[in-house]
Amino acid sequence: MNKSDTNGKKRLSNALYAVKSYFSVQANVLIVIFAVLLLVLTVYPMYSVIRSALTVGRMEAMNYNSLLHAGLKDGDLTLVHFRALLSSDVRFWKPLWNSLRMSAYASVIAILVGGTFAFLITRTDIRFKKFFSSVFIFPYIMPSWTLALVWKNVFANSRVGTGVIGMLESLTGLCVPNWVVYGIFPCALVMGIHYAPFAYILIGGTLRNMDANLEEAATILRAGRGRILRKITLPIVMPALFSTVLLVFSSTMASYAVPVFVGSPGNFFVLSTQLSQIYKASQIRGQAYVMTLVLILFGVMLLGINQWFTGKRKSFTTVTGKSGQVSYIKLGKANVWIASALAVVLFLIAIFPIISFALESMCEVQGDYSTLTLKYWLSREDIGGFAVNAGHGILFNSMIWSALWGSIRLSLIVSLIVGTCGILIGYAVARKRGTRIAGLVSGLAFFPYLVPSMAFGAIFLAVSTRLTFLRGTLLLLVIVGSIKYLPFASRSGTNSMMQLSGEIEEAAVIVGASWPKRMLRILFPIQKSSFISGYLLPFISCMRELSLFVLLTTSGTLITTLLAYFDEKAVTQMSNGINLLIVIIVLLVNFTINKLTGASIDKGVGGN
Amino acid sequence: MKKALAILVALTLCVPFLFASALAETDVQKAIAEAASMSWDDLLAKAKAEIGDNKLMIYSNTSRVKEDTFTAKTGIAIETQNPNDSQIYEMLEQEVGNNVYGADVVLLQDCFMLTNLAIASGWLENYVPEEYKAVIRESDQNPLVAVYLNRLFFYNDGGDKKAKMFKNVWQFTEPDFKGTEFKNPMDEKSSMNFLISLTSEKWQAKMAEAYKSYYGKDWAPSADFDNISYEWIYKFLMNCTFVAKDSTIASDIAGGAAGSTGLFVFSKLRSVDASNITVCANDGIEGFAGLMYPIYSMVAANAKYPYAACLYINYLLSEEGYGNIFGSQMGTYSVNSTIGISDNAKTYGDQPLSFWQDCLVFEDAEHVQNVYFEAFDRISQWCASK
Repeated sequence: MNKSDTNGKKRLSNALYAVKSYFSVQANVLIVIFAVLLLVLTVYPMYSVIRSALTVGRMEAMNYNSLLHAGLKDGDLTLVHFRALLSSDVRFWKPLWNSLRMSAYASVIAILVGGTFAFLITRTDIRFKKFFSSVFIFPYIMPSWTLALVWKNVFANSRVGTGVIGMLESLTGLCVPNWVVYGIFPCALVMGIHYAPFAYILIGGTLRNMDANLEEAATILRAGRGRILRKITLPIVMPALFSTVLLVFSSTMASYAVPVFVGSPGNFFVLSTQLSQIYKASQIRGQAYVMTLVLILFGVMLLGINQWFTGKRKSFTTVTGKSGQVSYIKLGKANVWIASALAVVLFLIAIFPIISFALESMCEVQGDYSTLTLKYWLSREDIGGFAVNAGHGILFNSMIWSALWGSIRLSLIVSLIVGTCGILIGYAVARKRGTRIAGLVSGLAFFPYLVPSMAFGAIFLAVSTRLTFLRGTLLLLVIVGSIKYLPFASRSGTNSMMQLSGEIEEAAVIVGASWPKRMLRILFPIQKSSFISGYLLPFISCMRELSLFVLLTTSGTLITTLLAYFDEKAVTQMSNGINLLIVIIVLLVNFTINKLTGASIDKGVGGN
Repeated sequence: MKKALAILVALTLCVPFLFASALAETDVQKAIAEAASMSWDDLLAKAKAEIGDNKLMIYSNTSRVKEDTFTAKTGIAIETQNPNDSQIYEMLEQEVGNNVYGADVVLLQDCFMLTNLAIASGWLENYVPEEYKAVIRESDQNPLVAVYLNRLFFYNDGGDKKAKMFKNVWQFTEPDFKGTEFKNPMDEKSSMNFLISLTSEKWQAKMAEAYKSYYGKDWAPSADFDNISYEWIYKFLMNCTFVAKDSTIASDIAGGAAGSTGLFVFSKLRSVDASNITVCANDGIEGFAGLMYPIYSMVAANAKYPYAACLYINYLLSEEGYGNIFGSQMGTYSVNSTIGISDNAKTYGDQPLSFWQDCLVFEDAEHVQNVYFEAFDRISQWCASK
């Protein structure tokens, strides 16, 4: 045996030892597993997006040859989509600018509304906390367009559009100007309110868990309220603020329904509406993929800023295992006034849409409350008339119940998978914070959020034509849903784990607790409320998703695909009733989880 | 002699190709050819033997095809999927393009994409039953139109049924009538193809007549517009309001002020209080009163159950089938000329297909084919620049 052989063996043994020792730490195992898994699951969609942006199909070649004499053939590699789109002011630059403005305003509004609400609930003695806290999440549970519809119903007036008189004018005679009803203002406000529960959940979670001794110490040292807020509270809630901005900004950039409902009538067009329209036109579809890349780019930039910021500080720990007594700010006489104002606002944004769904599902003639009937709920006969083939009333309609069960089953499976993966990703990322692999996992987990649902559905349709055993199966829907909604859970998981001091786990390690025991008996119970939200948010989103699944399943499988059926048949009573059912189911699930586990989306934040 | 020899050689050379094309006939094409001349009972027997307890898969942009009466009549269960039109083309590309079975019957819109993408790529096959050939216009047979749907100009008459507020289609381009509600043509293929069809010579002439009647002078080309229809389209798009859903337009007009206008699918009238709503067509508006677009029914080129697919199309074309699927709705017209409109539809002022032929812009497949890309580009830029 010569010397070089011995050295080689030594090096190999050292390397093996290093690998073995690396994988003896659970966080390392998890981060590697998720890095590989996410790479596999996201590389194909990413590749599809880039390939579609750089090649032309049959119709695209025909189009560019006809308009630009480009001499292209089906399948050619080209930059023509980029050139065509980036040279168009009206199709790209203007809507991009509008999207950026709308998303920035919506983020500010979400943080102001959600943050203020979180502060009131966690830090003051405001009345009816439990009720307010439960109701505040309703705007997120409901599809965003419902709020847009309410906005229009309240503020429409005789000087705007066709002159339909809204609630405000009929009650007070006041007519607001056109820009209040349609355009960027209502778009940003509606999106901001819709996503304010994100801010409430994320910021509220941090505020509740924050060690109040820090603020109390500052008070003893005679620091003013503003100074405490600036120097102590804000830095601690910063990761939650960034996560909120990241989610709200990206969601608003990709939102479609609200800009179409209250933007387009005011000639306010954004990138997502342009993207959807261009995507529908086969001859220029590649331009939609270029837009998708732009959306991804913005998401990556935001994610980069977020990571740079969270990586810059060593710790955002708020849960240390030390005392965490919170002293509530006494609102005094203002309590009643603030609570009343809050009640009015919450009624308008959270309760009124539900009442309006219920009423509309009972109106024989849309909007005419003198024609109320329970026929569309209770009829055991076919609804009949123009609504032929609609089946029985909602409560006795087997089509509806079967589709509802389909959606619930899918959403439950997806949320279980996504929620669990979110916690594990959060744990791994938090423990490996600052490393490249943690950045990679965190980024990859967020990537699906940035690809529009319809493009995501189309990409997995293509996958299923190659892996035919997946076609038409629940498994395919579960895979697509799980990947698409992973960002919610991974953000919430990462956030919660970042707050946890490493000392807590270290203490458990010292006393010899195994990793599963540490997770299940220590870490999970401490951050239960945040983790539960990681399960509930994907459940809610999955329950009301249509465009992601429409290509992949038949029309009666999910409640949302059936909803489109009643919509097209113009049986608005049934579609309003189904919307109401979706909201009720989600609330029931939230309530049940609350009863079973003691946690819920809102409760952990301070509503109890 | 040389000429005769050359013809003989050419014919001889063609023989293998003729055989090749005969040999290349697929099972679906054979089934379609056979089914076309079969009686209902024979086709039903063949379809049942073929499909057994499996389900016939239908892709359709209209969810109305989700229908139990076909199953009740034939014992063949159906399954439907209702993506929008562009998604159907995407599914065909992914599935039929990769020879993966997805659907048997496909109902879809958009004459341009159907011809240039789906048929040209060999994803869809045309099927016309012999028994209906005599009652369907030849121009509707290849590709086969199943039904026509219309989208009409309506206005709120403020309760005065004799108001006749809209006498000429050029009114919709005037500042006084700003805000006609309309679904964005970029979101709605039928609206886009309507605008493109309007640029044909036939409609240019009609638009010029209406122009003269409204403004009292002949239309003259300008640097911006060398086609009168483009001028109308541009001014209309700049003057109208884009609204997301037909049902929203219907309720906006029903609850709006007198004189408010919109263009929406006739069938949506059923869900609102229509007492103040007038159909412009019934006032005899000059120019045109809306649009009519076809829904085509085709057999997927890799259908698993082609006989059952043909049977379903037969059902769709029959009085019973059409009646069950579309019959009671207004604004829907069978391509089978022996089938009229329902009594329900008449109560809302609906008229037979023949009435609409002169006053609506029908999707003009030939013209759309000739000018599609340029027209689409122009119109889409205008839509985005509002």
